[in-house]
Amino acid sequence: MEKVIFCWHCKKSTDGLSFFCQSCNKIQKPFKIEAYDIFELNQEFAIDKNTLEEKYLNLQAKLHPDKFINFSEIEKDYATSHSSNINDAYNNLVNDVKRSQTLLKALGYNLDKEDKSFDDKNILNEIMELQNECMLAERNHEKVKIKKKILDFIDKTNKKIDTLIKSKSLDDAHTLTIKLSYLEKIRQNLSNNN
Amino acid sequence: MNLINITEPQNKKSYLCIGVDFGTTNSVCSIKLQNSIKYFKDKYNKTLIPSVILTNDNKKFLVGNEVFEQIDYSEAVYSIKRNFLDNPDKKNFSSKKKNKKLSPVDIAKEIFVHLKEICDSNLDDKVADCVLTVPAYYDEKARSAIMRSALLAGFNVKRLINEPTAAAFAYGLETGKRGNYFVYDLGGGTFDVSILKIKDGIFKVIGTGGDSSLGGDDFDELFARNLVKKNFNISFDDLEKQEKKKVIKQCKLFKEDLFIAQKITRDFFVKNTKKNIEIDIDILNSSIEPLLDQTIEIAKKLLLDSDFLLDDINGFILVGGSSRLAAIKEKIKKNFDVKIFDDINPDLVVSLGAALHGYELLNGSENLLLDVTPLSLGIETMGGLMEKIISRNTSIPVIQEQTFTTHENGQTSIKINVLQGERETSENNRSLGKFILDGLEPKPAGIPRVKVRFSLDADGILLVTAIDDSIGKENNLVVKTNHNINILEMKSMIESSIKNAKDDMAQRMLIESKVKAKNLINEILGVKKELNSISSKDDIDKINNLIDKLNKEIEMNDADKINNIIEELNNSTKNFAQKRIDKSFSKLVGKDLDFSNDKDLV
Repeated sequence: MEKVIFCWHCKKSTDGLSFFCQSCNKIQKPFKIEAYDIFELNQEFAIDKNTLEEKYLNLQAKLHPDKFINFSEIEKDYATSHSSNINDAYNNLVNDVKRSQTLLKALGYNLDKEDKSFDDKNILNEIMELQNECMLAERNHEKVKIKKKILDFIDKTNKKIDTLIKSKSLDDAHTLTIKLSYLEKIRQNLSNNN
Repeated sequence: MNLINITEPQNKKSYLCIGVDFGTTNSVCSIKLQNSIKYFKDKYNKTLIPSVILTNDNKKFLVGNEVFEQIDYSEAVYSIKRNFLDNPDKKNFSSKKKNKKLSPVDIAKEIFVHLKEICDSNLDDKVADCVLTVPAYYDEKARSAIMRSALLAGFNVKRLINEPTAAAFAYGLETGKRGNYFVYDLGGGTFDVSILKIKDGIFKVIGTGGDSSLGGDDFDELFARNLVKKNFNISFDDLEKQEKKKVIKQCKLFKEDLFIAQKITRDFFVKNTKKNIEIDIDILNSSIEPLLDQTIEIAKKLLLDSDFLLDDINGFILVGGSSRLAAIKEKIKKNFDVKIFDDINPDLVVSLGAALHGYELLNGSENLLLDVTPLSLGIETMGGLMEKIISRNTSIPVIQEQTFTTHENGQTSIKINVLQGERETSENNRSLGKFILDGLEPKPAGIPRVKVRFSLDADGILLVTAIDDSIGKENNLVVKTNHNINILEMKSMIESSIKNAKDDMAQRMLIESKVKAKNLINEILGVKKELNSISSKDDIDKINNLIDKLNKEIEMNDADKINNIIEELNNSTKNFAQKRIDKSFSKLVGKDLDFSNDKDLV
């Protein structure tokens, strides 16, 4: 049975999923909401990051505590909670690895179940090879080349994750997400050492 | 072409909000009126108010330009803002006034009082609301301590914003900048660098780096070292402390003259010997070069940490008096090859940004500032390691939770040490405070679930909550030292005091009384267990009664009543305090005195 939720201010019933009361327009109490739902995006891995950013900024423009400076303490608190949740949801979607994890979780996949013993030999070998190549790259054009190669890998992995999630092969998508996190680390190390 | 000048309708009254830039060297206050910006001037007609303080023989505080009107101001305290990085509440400054020892918070408060007076004298109606700026790289402790100083002086701080963010806001609004910018803010005592994305009225801070103990003051010292060595052939280190101060002060003036000249000739006094020397800009530049390189490295690292490439950056905005040095501009050009913007006065731009933001906060606007936290926050785990809960450069406000467990069988309490910094081990990071969550049900190690929640609000102020998940027991900690009242409680006190006191002086007295009362209550509650075990029931009841009464009185606004109850409460706890001393003494001599049959001794 669905629980009926009432606006804290006008006491009229609300849909429980809107930031503002449909009757009196007051900011509502924080509620649990999935990252994808906050930004009204389809549950897909491939997203348009420009659209995401635009929606994120639009929401912050309405809900950031700066917009509630002259409001009651309770409204200020609600704004701070909403604004924090929106920041968190944005961070979880804008980053590829986190987005994949967020989506897998939303689809009911248990992320913890095999996290500790990742032993896909092929992937580990691939990663080790890339790492070696990075260490050996000394001259600038070599570095540029390896960087391009890694970005290429990341791109391909992203596309594969998208296909796998669409076809509900969540186990494989999870494995590739772990690969993606390794690739991201290599990419970061590479730019830090430049 | 003649444009018809349309005046804004006068009936809509706008709310006023002061922009306060409390600087290491100078402070600036400004306000946005309907169609203009006003910088507040002191009685000497100066906009830059030196952040300097002196107690004179009348035991009165002299602040700002008043100090330099004195014949002898050798005992003046300079650059107090730098002391906020250590312990802002440590009372290690002596003052002639009441022969009291003062903490950096106390001293800064007096400077804020002076700034408030300047603002009041410039306005028809008094304005307490303000936006206060702080160095972006400041940690939690320094941030809330500065805010406390301003609150104690009667400023109603509506928002705390980072100095480079304020500057970028001013550039965005006043000069219509769009795109991605570095803000390079080199002040008297702190260096901040931020990358901001400015788009459609949204100012999003991408990342912040810096060094909160690097600034123009350090330049002055390096410059002084070289000038003394070169012209007097003695080592700067061999000079007396007072002599060093005098030499540095002269070199600071030489430096400022070299902002606009390549070569100057000046009298230089060291140990009462005068030499007329020629000073070339090159000796200044070579003296400070290592520090400049340091700032460039910090900026480069910030760019690497962000997802931006140099090509994405539209320019460098220069902020802070020290950024006037030509050598800095050259270094930036050489290393980054981007446009440099310094068209808004670098001494005033931070205050301007704060005033513009304040106006928009109170009167509404389409613009939005999204800032980040400069340093990672976390807690100490087994083996003295820091477990990060919120990473640096996360947008604020933010709430993050993490679950921890016990490591010993039957453990009933967990000590939580809140840390800030980027290092792996907790001892290398700043400890913001420790608190204990007790009353856990004894269970085998690893079974209890303790949820630690970090909430960082839009001011960048941290609230830590620990929750024993099995029974829902909560324990709050706002960053504070000893029994000090927390900043959130203080903010609400200020608001009611400002509304209810008849003048500034009464208002400050009221705030002081309330804070004192709250601290006393915290102090007593902190030793409650002990109090209950060694005091008589009558005493305990009396104390509890007074605490209730005092709590109620804090909500009201009568300073005298509050002070009376404080005195009563102090009297009623005398007994306890004495017993406590006796008890710890008796422990020292090896036997425990029994107080259980003790009736009132008084």
